Amino acid sequence: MDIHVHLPSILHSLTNEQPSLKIALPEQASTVAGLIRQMDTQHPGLQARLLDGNKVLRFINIYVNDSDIRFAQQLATPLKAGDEVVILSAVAGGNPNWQGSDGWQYLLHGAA
Amino acid sequence: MPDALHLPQRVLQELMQYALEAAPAECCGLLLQMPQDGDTTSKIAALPIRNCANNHEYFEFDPHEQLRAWRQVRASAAQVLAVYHSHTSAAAIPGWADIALARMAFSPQVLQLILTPQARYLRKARCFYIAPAGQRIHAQELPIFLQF
Repeated sequence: MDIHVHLPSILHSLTNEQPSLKIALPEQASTVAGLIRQMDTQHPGLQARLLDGNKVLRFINIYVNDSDIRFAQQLATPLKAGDEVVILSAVAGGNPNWQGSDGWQYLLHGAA
Repeated sequence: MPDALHLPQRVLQELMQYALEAAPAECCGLLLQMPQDGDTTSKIAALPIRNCANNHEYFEFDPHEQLRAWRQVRASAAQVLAVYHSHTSAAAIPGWADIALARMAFSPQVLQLILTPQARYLRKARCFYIAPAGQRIHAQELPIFLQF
């Protein structure tokens, strides 16, 4: 089944500058996790920019048809033919006095 | 690299008002260049986005509003000129987290506009180009040219 995926501009260097992909997903891998694995086989390096092990990176937002997967089943969120997946980099910042929080370690990941 | 931010004075006033209304929390949003039909000039508009952190030292775009903004930008063929946010407990200079997170979200062509609405920080607006990682200078301040 085909899934339409839109990626943030910061990752277009990994997809030959394509902002959107159409991914053919086997039925047995019809989850967001399966989608990311499939995208990574075609565009190596994508998975590492989206996941930390079996969790989505702190500053990556993934939506399935307008629904944030954090409020669904996370990476196990099911997909069906024709679904649209949008992946955005979170937009955030801290002022010079900010000491950081639980997401601080992720600020170093992908910043280089 | 952009060499300046050209900003209508009315938009700057609008941004400072957003910052004042949100204080003590930081406000945030996008500055867009909107194409205009039948006109070669384009219009600059602010798109406020809720700070889901509701914090006086940190901001984060509400994910749901960020998606809506993304769709709106795509549909209108607008260009994202800058991310704006306010500092309410520090000067209008980027913190390390401002720089690191800007690099993770946008290309360097998208500028960072920081507002300090409070009188003690001189009610300033300052614009920065965030350099890619690995360069000696992390952030370079750019002039803001007001348009009337």
